Amino acid sequence: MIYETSWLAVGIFSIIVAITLGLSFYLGAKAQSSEGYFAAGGSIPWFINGIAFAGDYLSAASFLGICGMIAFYGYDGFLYSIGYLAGWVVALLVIAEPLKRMGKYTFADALDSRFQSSGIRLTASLSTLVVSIFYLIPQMVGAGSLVKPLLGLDYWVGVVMVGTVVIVIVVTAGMVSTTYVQFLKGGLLVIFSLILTILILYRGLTVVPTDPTIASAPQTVEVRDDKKWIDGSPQGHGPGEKDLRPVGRLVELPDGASSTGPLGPIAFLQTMSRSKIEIWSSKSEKVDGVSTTVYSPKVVDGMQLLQPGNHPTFKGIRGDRWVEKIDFISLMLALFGGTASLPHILIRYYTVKDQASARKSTIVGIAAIGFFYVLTLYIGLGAMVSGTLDVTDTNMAAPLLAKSFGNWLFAIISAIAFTTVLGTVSGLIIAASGTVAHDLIGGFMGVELNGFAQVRVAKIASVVVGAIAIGLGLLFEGMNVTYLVGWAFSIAASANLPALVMLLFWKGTTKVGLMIGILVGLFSSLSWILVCPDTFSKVYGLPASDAWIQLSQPGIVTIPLGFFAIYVASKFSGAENAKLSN
Amino acid sequence: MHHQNKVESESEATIARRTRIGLILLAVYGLAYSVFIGLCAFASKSMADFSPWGIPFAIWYGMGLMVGAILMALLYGRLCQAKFNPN
Repeated sequence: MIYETSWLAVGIFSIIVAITLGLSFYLGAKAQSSEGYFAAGGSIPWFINGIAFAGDYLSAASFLGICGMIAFYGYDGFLYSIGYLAGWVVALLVIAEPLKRMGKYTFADALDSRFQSSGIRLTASLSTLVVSIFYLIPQMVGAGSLVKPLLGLDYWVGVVMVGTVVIVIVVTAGMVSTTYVQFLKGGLLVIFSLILTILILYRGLTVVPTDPTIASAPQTVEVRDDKKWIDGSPQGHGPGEKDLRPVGRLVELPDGASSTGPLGPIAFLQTMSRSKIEIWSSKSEKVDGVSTTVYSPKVVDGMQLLQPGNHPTFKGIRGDRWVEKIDFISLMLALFGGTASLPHILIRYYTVKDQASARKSTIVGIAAIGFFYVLTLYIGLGAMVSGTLDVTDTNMAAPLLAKSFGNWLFAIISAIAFTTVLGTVSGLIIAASGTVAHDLIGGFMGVELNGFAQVRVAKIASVVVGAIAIGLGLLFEGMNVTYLVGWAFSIAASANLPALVMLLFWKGTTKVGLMIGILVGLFSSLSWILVCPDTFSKVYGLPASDAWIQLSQPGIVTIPLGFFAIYVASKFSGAENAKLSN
Repeated sequence: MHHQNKVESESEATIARRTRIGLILLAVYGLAYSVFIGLCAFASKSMADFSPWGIPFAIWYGMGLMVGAILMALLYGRLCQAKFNPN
């Protein structure tokens, strides 16, 4: 669909950016020491840090991606919500307090707290950078992809704008400004998601389309010479031109009702379960350089949509093939183990004053993130029957739903959706630049830097990492990169989680064991990803059936492999190398 | 680049007890999560066929895991606070 520039959304986003930049310059004085720059002086109140966890963690993939997936496929998007939140239980119960007890700036600091090993610094830094890059690419591509439909600007403008704003935020006040940007973003996201959900429930469900032009005929999109044709006409709003019709409607309510009126949360789900809903599927082919996608509607029972296995990624779990089932289990395992080992999440624990604050802030984070993920189910289902969906862009489901309630809400939701990228990218850049300055240059290379020099180096590193992020965003334009987030979780869960858990809970862990474990986890998961069906089809453009390994998700193999590698390497490296002492 | 550990004044016994509580709660949640994954993978049809109060079991279980995570976090906080804050 063609979107007009929403100057209201641009204005609101500009106000949010101005506030965040103003905060950054105001807080800059607190971030001149290394303690201030990397860890906000350990002075962040636990409630602020808890909401900042939500702001750091809930990226556009969570808000737009999950809501969109639910809107088009039903329950399967909710599986990601469940997996993402479950990972936070691991973070709270296993990682939070021990990590804070080690009292450091970076993930590598925690691993190296007992060994003082340059090898551990190098391997942990490598893992941090790889995970951060895999996570950064989809954020930057997302920023570029969203800026056109949300703000009416070109792709490259979105990428450059996000990258530049984040560089300024991180360079001026490091973790202090990053924390308050994430707090602001997390708070706005939860509050306005709640408002949107309340509006959905208040509107209730109806079989009367909100826009009488909605019809149920298939829609065809052809791309010839970089121009789009809709049902045989050039895309546009002028004479002889055509645009895609918004879709998504409820075909039949229980007991033949035409409208329900306001519904409570339980009644909403009950009614959806008993209704018939029109959903849209697509089929694409490319002939003689012309790419054609046909979008066709079909009516399904609500009960069918509210069970797992509708999305192509999860369809296999309803079948008999073990490969698809194991792939699904592997993905859910990676989500469970990955959250607690993401470097940009771990460094948040150092910003509060003590272990109790680390615990309380994680509890607040779980409450905020969990509440948000519950709301995603209602937002996704509300969008499914709103009559506003763009069949070509699942990410626009939530903003377009908001538009059905009014332009102001659309503008606010669009601005917040864009701000989600700012919050997550800030956290990633500070994690990556911190590891370059503090772990690689200071720790591994042994360059002696006082606190202020370290901060200067970190700021330079932030600019470099930010520039790389912008470059990657521009390089990957047009590519489907959402799967990279799942891979970042797999890599983190395979390389970082075994190292953290074994260090915390097994006295036999040696420094050699940790290094080997991280490297094995990192390279096994990366190698797997290079030869899996997802990469073959989405990156190489080859048939998925030609992939060397038929499982797309490595976690079920590479996570246990990481643990095993640490155990074996520690046993072989023996007592002479700095075993954990009491 | 080496750092001093910032060790807080807590007894080893307190830390060990909190760790034990955390691992027990993690085991409980991990079991619930594993059963959920198993049902989705091997009995996905049952997640819709069984629908208490007209809502598919998949929704109830998923919501249960969400709410359960929040309640478990609050429980853990409460159990830890009883030991951590002597007042």
